[in-house]
Amino acid sequence: MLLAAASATPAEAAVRHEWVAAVPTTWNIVPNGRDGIMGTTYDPAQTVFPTVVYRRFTENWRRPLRNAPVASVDHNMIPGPLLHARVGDRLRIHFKNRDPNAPHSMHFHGVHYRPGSDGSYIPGFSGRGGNVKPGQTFTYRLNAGRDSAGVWPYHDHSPSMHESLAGGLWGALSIRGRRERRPDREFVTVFAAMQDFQTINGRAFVGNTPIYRARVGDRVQWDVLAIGDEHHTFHVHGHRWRTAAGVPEDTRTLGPAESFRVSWREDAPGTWLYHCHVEQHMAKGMIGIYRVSPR
Amino acid sequence: MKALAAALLALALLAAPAQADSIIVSAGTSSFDPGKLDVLVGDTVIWRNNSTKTHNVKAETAGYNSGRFGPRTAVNHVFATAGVYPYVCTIHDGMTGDVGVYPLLLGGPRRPVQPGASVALHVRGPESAGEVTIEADTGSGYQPVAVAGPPEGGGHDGHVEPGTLHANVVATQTATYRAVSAAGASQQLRVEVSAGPALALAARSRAGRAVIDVRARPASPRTRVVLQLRLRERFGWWAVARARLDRRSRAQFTVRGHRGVPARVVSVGADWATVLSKSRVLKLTSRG
Repeated sequence: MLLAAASATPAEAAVRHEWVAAVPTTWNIVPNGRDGIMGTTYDPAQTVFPTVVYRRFTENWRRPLRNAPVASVDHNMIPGPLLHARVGDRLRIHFKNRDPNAPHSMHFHGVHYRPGSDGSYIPGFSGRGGNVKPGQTFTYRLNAGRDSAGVWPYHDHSPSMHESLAGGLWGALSIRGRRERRPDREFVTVFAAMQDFQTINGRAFVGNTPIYRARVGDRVQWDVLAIGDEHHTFHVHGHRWRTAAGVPEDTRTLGPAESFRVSWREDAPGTWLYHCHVEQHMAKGMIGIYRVSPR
Repeated sequence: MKALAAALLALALLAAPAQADSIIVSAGTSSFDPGKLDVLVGDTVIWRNNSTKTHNVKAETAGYNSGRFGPRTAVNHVFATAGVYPYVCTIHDGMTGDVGVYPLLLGGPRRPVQPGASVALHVRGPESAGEVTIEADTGSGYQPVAVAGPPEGGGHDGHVEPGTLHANVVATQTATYRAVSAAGASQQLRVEVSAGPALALAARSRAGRAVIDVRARPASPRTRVVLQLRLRERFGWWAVARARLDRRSRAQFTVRGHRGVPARVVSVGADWATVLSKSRVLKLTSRG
């Protein structure tokens, strides 16, 4: 089902504070060194590169936190933190640029804000928020309006935008309706070209891309986004969902900076593929596995 | 000097013919294992059908066609002339293999060795091979590095295996080796030299977890090491923890669960990804 389930009582509107920093890191697109389906092997010289990513922190950037709940050696720092809100909430995103080499920013889709919190660089017009210099901080003030329910991208829109988008400085904002129930599982799936690969969450080929997990009976929600210059088609094997018009589908297209969410009640145990159905993208790594265990 | 040269030459002559070997290739459902094989001139290759299908072996350049052979049966062929012979099962598309036939066969370590290690190489060949030289190529062409001779002390229990010569070479960098005689050259043998320390593992179980102690030789404090597990859903080796060796060149990893999963520790470069040396593989014994 595309439409979200409703709970009996609406949640209170809240002011949500998030602490995020842009941090330099070394990223490996293919940590296991291989395309497990075709058997092709890759050397770290082809897959490892320095980049800058968004990372979640505790208050006042005292201590780094994981962006994603799944443990991994490099803390799954692409995409950036999955930020949550409900319609009516106010968001205060406290951003610090810890990259000593370049300015960065955070520009959010889907929410309401004044130009000062747009996070994009317009010489002579934009304020500090569009060009946060190394070591500096900025707080973006955002509101989740009635038309904000859904999943949206956020990304660097500073003068460093193009390098940043190619390097993974982006993330997802997930906004629920006031009465909307939380899903049992929420999977963020970001399609983006990176180096010579086509990646999902900055990783290429089965085993490296996210391994999503659910149980039969779970309500699962997929937050699907595209970053970059290409179109992608989101496809999950063995599953279907319905469009807003009630039409069942198992593949949906999205272009640069577009996003959508689909959800269903899980009823299909097994290990399934999910992938971009642009064949060349799939061959260059845009494919992963989804594991559903019996209840 | 002449006497020494003569003695070396005498040592280097293959004293007796190598005994012909038989090498078994398994014909599976849709592939041969091993698919690529190097043998000595005169060796017999036996294809054993370990599948439930009927196969055949057709090696056109060797003039060999086995005909059909069913499950639990085998066919064989003696390769009498040097060369590389591709073969196929004409019944099953894509079921192919290669037999490389050489006048000398060179054997050596299958795992990477430490820099400066003395590496034992051995050569199988016929008596007519005469003097056998070991050559190495580190990227600028083959250069002689050793002369192969009978093993020191006459081999195990004073017994010299007929037709086998030995040589020790000092491996300072990764190189491709070959043995050369008047009869021709052996296949190429690549010997990898590790860029990192040798890693010894000791595993024990503590409070339901596997504890893996890592020790490096030679001493290499601060070296980056990564614990990898071979996970089915990761389709290969997957890093699950990382550390730097302490001042005593040691590190410790603790793993919960993953009972029976193969584990190893690798030393890596500054990118935490380029593998410089690998430990042996052990299976985790903890209960998750």
